[in-house]
Amino acid sequence: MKASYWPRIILWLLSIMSLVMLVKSFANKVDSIKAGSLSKINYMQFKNALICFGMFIFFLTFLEYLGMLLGGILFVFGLLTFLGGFSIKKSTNHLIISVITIGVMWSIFTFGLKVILPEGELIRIW
Amino acid sequence: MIDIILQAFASIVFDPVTLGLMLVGTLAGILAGAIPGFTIAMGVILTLPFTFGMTAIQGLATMLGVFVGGFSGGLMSCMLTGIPGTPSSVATTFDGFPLVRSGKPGLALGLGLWSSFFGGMISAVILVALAPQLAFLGLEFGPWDYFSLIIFALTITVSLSGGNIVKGLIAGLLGLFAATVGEDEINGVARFTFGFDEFKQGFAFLPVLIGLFAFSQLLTDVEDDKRAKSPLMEKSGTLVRVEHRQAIAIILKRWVNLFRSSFIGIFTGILPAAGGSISNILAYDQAKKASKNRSNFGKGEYDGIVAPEAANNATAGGALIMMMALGIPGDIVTAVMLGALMIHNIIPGPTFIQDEPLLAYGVFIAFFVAHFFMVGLQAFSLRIFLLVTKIPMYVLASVILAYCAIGVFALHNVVFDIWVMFFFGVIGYFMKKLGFPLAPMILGVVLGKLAELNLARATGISDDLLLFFLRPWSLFFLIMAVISVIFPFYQDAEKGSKFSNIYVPASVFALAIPLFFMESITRLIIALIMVGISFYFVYKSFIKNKFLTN
Repeated sequence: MKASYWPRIILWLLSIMSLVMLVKSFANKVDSIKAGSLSKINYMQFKNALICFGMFIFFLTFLEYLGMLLGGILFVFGLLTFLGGFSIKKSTNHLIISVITIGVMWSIFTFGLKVILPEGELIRIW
Repeated sequence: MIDIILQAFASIVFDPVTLGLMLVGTLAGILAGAIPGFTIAMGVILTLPFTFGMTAIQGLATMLGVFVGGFSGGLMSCMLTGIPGTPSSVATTFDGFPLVRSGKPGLALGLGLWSSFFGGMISAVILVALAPQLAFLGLEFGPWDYFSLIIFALTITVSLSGGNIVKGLIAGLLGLFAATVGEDEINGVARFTFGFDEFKQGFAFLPVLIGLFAFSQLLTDVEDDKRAKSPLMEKSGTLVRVEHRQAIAIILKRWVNLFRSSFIGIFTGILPAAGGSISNILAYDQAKKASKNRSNFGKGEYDGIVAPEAANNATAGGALIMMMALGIPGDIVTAVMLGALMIHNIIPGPTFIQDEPLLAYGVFIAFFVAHFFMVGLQAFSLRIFLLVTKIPMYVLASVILAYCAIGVFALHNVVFDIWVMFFFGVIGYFMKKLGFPLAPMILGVVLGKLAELNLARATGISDDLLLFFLRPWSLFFLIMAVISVIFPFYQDAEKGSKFSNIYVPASVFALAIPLFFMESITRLIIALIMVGISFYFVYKSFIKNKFLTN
């Protein structure tokens, strides 16, 4: 069997199903109107999800430099602050939560499960 | 065989490390099941990274602890607060919460707890008895039959995952497509790699699964600002003393309901994708129909608690049967367990029980033992539950997102896996928003490579594609696939319409056809009975219609 055989079957079926869905959405006028009115979509509902995406991309991009321990703490602290709000009391709590939770997890994986997590150039230099 | 069972028993019960891990797993499962917004599957997924450093049996036993504990955790929140912790305990709320409000919280919890225990025990016995037999049957399967079985597993997942069937099929196909990325296993040709070396290995299915399921779920959980900042539960209930003796006596008096509900749970568990969320409602409905006190249902009827709780724990055993016997995951939890086995280079399939008897029977024993832990830990977990419910969702979600990243990295020690998880997390989140069910996609990713491999083997042996329709088992599964695709239309059809009258007898009749071609007297007798049943259904609807027109 050629390597292209199976993906082609899937892609053909996907095309057919997409076409069926398109035809169905045209046939169903109410749905098509709803789907078409992009201005009615409340984009604010995605705010928190987008914050999570952004923080995660930041965390992954700088993982090599910051390492899992520092990067993880910063990621959790940043996310907690963005999602939970900012005040001195809250930020102190968020910092304690992020240091303890990531510290404990990092210790379990590093010392308990012997998994070598990314150390990070920053810590290596230091 | 007895010596293997004893050895497996010793490897679990006399190993303090395994017992300790199971204890922690069961506690974690109870809490995961009790917290609304968290599911048992999420609990098992989060446990997975910890199992990398364990032996295969320790890892599976821990996950089984989470699995079993999760089902009973759901009853705790639904009884004490009226909010089901997991979809598996929705029906328990109908009578559990009213019984608590009538001043019997200890009895309500006891009924739920012990029904879960007995349901689990019944399903454990069936698991031990049925899995080896089903595996024996699986040895008859050729690549054609296996391929058709996978197609059936996917189509039934689509039809049972609810919503639009076309969207379900698209999700399943996207899952199959995601599994084609990387070098194909037959020729070693790189596909869809776009020149990136990291893509050559393909996407490991655990990061994909964690992304699609856990990551996207966490994003949904923090979507609403107000909900994300408030504690997990506004009403967290109070400490209750469980009435064990009285509950056991009541349940044993209702043994018919207990067994019926447990069998409903087992059967639902065997069907791919039909998990505890379906079985608990089915069992509740049947218990209500069979009860003499129908009017008491919804007001704290004991049978209304026994049925869903026995059924949802029995579902776990049913789902394990398919995984252990045929290597086909029944749900997301067993898909994760399949992944855990693969990490240890063990591939479940029809020969799994024969090749790895100690591990297979170890799973059976662990499933038994987890139920005892579940009962023993209830009082303690209730205290922790009351504490955990005070944490806001955004705190839990943020920490778990980071934990997912660490866990996924630990799988192969490559950062690329975390990117994969993130990528599929984003896809999963938007697919959910657009109304696409995720279960078919997850199963597509898990089964995609297996489907391709079996298709390649089948076409390698013979070019004749008609063999997919001429081999009895293959035809049987393809007919099942067609029946499952039509099933949502049957559900929507008006009761008494021609289509709804013909669907069941036609399905039973069609399934009997391949059985006639199997060379076995027993199967021939089963086929004849099935034909008889289908004619009886037709006759019954004919009489009913005649009566109505007159």
